[in-house]
Amino acid sequence: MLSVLLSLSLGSYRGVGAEELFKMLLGEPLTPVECAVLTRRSIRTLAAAVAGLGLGLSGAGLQYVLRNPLADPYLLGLASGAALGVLIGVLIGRCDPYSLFTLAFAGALATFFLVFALSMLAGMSALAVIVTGITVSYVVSAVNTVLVLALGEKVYGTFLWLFGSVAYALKERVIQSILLVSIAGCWLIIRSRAINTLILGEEVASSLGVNVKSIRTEVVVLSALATAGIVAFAGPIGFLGLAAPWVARLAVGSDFRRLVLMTMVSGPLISILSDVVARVMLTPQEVPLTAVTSVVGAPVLLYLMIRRRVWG
Amino acid sequence: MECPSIIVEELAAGYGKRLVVKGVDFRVERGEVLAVIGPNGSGKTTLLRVLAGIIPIVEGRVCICGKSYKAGSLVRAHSLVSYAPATPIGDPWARVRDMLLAARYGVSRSLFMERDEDKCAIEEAARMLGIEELLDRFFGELSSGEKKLVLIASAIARKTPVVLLDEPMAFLDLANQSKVLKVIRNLASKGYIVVLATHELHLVPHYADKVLLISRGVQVGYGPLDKVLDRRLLEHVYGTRLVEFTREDGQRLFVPE
Amino acid sequence: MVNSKSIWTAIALLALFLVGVGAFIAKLAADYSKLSEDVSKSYKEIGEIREMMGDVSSAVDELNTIVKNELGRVVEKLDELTAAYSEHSQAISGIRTELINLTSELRTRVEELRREVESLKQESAKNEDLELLAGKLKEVEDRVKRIEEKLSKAASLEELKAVRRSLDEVKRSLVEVEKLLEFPATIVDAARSLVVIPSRPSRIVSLAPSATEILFAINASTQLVGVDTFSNYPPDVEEMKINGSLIDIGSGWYPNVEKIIGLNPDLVVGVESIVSHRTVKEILSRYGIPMLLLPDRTLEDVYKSIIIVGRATGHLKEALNVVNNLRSEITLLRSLVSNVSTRPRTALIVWLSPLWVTGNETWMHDLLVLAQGQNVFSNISGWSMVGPEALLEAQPEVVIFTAGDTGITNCSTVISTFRDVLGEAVNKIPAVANNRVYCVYEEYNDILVRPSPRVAKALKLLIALIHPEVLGLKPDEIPNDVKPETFELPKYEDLGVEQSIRLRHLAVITVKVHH
Repeated sequence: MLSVLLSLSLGSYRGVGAEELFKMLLGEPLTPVECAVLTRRSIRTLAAAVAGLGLGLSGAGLQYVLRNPLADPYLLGLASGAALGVLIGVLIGRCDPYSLFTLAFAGALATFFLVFALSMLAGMSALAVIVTGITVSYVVSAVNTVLVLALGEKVYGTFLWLFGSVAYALKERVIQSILLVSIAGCWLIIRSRAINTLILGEEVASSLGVNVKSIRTEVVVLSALATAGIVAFAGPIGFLGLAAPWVARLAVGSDFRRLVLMTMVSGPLISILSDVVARVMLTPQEVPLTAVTSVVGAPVLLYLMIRRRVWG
Repeated sequence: MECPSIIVEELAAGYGKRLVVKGVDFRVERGEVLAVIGPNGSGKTTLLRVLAGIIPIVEGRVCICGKSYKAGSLVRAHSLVSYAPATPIGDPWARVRDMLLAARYGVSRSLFMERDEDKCAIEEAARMLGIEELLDRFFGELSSGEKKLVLIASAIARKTPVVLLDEPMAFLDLANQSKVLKVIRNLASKGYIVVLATHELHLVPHYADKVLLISRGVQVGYGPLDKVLDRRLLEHVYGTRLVEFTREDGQRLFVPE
Repeated sequence: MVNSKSIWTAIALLALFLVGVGAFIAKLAADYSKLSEDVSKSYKEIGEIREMMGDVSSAVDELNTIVKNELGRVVEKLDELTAAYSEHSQAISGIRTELINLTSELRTRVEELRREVESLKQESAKNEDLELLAGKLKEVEDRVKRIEEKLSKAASLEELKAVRRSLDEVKRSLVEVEKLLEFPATIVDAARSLVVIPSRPSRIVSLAPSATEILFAINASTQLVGVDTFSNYPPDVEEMKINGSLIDIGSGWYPNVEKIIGLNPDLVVGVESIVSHRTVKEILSRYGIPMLLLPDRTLEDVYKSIIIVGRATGHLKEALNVVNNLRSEITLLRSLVSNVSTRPRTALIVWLSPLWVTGNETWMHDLLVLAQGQNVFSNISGWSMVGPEALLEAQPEVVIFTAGDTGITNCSTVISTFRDVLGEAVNKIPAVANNRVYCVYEEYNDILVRPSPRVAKALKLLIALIHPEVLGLKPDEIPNDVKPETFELPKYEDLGVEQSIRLRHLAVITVKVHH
């Protein structure tokens, strides 16, 4: 929560700082400009929080269900799919924010359906999902590269999104994502005991009565929905899906129930702090969030790992 | 929990179109230990998997604890059955304690977080297998023997009336083997049903009440030890010459020549 | 013998003599004083007489003057009357016609405004103000009607002058109405969306250097409060950034929304081609800040954007002025190159590695065409990356590289880069073989790469590089590194461009201003 306060206090506009925040909290009137800036910042903070939450939860679920500690929501082809959507939007000339969002969402989901269908055909095993996801991602990325080259200078204006940023978050999009992320989160919490059993291996989990395939499907689909919603408005923010669950795991251990709850804290925390840094770093220049999450997240993760001496 | 018996009739099961076992019949009562023996690939694991409800029954019938399951369905008796696989696999980044707690799924009465009875069960199981010091270690750090002990412990921690162990002695040193042996005998004495698959013929007499001999998916021998543990039958099934030893207490052991 | 008797006689005689003399002198003196008295009396009398005389003469003079003035006035009046008579007879009809024209002009103007107000009334909900305006216009219309009546009856110069005075008043009130109608301004911008600017903006933020240049050109710079990092023309901008009267809001490619909001602007100006500006426009609209997206693809877009900015800031007249000047200058330049016989194949390169070139649907292409050059990459749309072999295939005769922000400072680097990639085949490219590879820097770079009011100068530059002979230059006179220090564009006067052509064009401007 501290990070939220911090986020709201800092930013490009020097005139609005902690004092203005307190004024608002105390119910005192603010000038319209101060109010507008604070509103903008709170939307941005909320966007970062939702992104961190969604990506962290998806990452946590996928890491368990795909039995791969490096699993990350973008494995499912969502990032490249959303990028494809945006590039198509630029290609056909529909560059307004609504079209771009819809196209990004559609692109992400379309790519995911492809991955999903292929995984089902391959038996919906953990390996199947990972391999099809990565393969499809690469193929779509290749298409994207060609598009970027073909579109010339028109693409330049989308780069901030392509690298992942919450700078241009719109309130409605954020709220829509909150919906998707909440659904995913609640479901994950409800199923967390079952997901937990996966640490004993698929065989034992099955013997415990857990339908491993169906749980995998559930988690994959929900993660995809939540992540698609986030990627559509913020672009592919990297590293959060990987780092947030790991930070949580190193804090509270591998029990999925506790992990989920902790990820709900660590995810937004990391992303909000990263966004604050991104905002303030080269002010007034906008830095893509991904740059900061990677740079900030990596040392934190490494430090925690060294502390726990998890070199297994 | 009370469980009178496991009855298996004409069981056939396999993977996809391939049937690995066919025509298996046996019955295990309360407090009995059934040892399933046979060459590699004969279908022992498959049999255990059917009983554990991991793969479905293709033909035949299984009746566990009074509940009957027919062809085409899974044995959904998960809260009554525990299973420990032959090869110890698990999430290397998971803590042993968490794994044992996770194993209490379906048995624990807690809604979300664990209760005291779960914690007690775990600690008891850990004590029985001597892995108390390992509880806070990461699974990936353990040796294969230690990992095996963890998996067996997670099966036992469930305190289900039926315990299925696939090659419980594999990976274990002699001391641990004797520990596990004691555990099996303990379980039997408390009225649990234990079915295990094993290659250690020499240990079978120490704990087993009945033996089921399978060769290439077909049941070739079933019944008390003396009936099945016949040298010529075993040589035929295993395809190698064996030497028979007799201990002072009359138990017979077979070792390859 | 001298005796005492004779001495006493002598003394007595002397004394007698002296007395006599004395008496004589006394008499003389008395006479003299009497005389002088008389004289001064006479003088006095003379003076008095003179005074009298003076009075009389001045009185006579006065009389003279009075007579003369009266006479003069009478003469003047006579002259006036004769002049008035002649004016009246000759020029009164002329004045009348002029006034009739003026009146009808005003009448049409009023009708136009009436129609505009009517259509606005239908579109918008701000009805009270519009009702007021409509009422005012009705008044004005009635006045014009009355003036027309008066005019038909007016016979004397005075009456005509009175009519002229009333017409001036009407004109003034019309100007007021027009000013009121300027805002709220409804503009359809390049993103085909309706932007409504409620009142004359006084805090404008510009997100593109071209927009900044336009704002300065149409005299709206006092309304500007924020510009992007890359805005640097006119030079005042840099100063204003330093002394704080203009705030630098960062790169225009990814504008910092928070900073913009913090400046509390009432208008933000962006461009259509940058995708992030669309999103920024959407976000700003949530805070009630209108944002204009200027069209910035072709040369016509440059004119359009100047007009749009003019309307949006209340400087429409100046904007039309600027556009007219631009068009005239460009027409002039076109006429200069109209007689050339060749259209050299030209490549406009904007980045070296990877190789980015200019295609059609850009103002750079339009300018090149106007300069009687042929764009070798006209099959490409916009700016695009091409492989270096494309340069070989295209075989341009002239290569122009806008080196401004690329860090290249020497044109030979460009050629060696080509050589690295294409090998010795590079010498087969006519531009390389004939040493017609030009790199433009600093101001020359900026005017080419921005769709700003300086496009006429850009055209001149292109002509200088492609058809130097038209501007009186020899190809060797142009350096490969084209910077303001090394190369000066020839002025129109030096070109001996006929005064008549220039004046003709200036006249065109003047007529258009009386709008």
